[in-house]
Amino acid sequence: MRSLVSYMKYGLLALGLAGIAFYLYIGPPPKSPPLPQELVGMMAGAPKEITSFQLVDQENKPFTLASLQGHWSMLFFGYAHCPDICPVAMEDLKEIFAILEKTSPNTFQAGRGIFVSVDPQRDTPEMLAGYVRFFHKKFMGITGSEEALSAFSRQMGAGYRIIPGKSADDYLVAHTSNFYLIDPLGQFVAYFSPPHDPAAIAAKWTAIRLAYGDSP
Amino acid sequence: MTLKPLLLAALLALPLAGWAADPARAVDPWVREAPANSQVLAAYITLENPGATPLHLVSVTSPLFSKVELHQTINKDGMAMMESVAHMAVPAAGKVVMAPGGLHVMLIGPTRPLHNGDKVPLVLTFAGAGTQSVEAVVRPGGSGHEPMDHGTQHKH
Repeated sequence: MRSLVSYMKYGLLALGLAGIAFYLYIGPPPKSPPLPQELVGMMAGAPKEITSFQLVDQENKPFTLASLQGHWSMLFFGYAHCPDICPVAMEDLKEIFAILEKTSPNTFQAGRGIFVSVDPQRDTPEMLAGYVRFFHKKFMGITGSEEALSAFSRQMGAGYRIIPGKSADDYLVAHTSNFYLIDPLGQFVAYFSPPHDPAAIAAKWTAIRLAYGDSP
Repeated sequence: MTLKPLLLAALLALPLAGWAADPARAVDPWVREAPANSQVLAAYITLENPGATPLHLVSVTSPLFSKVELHQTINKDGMAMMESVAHMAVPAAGKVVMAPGGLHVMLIGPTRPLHNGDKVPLVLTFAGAGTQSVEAVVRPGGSGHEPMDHGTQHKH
């Protein structure tokens, strides 16, 4: 019972913050609305425009800056041969979507999860298709050339490094395990560092959307 | 001829000895359900050592995987990475907790896709203390699915 009460407290707090945000930023927002600091655990500063890039999605179709526009995207950089951190993050993202579906249908509707594979040598688009679909129908997978991935990840401050193993296809990948939020204008808005609390991230994501003048 | 009964007795006693010698108590062994095409999975076990001497888990094998390694997820320079560990120590009268984002058993090359509810047999080998069979259950699991801790409740 106590956990339910504290849960409700957080819910009310989030609602209150969302309400304040709504009144502060009501109406069609300028291109880069200022975001209240208290709404975001980890701000990226002012929303930062992503510059053009060329990647491919899980259907082997081009994925570019235009593909980011018109959606709220929560990105995670990882690799499919990762048994612990990456599936944990995908399960957390799945939980975030489950919470949004109940608490903010519009955020759920406008949102999607994107697994960015930084291991193009092993993670083909076909492999990624099976990988992301296992977790959620609103997830997609993207990857690309070493150069494109490195340039794309740097724009959000996401890092990764291949750690050579015993053979050419037995290696590990070190990577940041933050979630990165991109707005429908293709701007990097916020990042969420681990340990990930799905309820808190879902509430913040909704609050940020409200600050943009969107409806819950 | 006189050897026969002795041999029989020895054979009968073997599994009994193996059972009696279970070095640790394995609490809630589980394997995270993964996409069907996954080549790597992770198992998590909390090992309790009721004895007065420390135990050292040095290897794990499973008939369902071509290779099994002991791993640890660590955070270094803002990045998460795995490193293999030579052994996991279970202190005397203490325990070692494997959990998402920390110590885990890395299962490589599944012989078949595993689904929620499937059982994964694991054989744990402790240095100088014999082996122990454990059955881990496959289930989904994110950050909020660490082994149950007394006093905390699951938020479902």
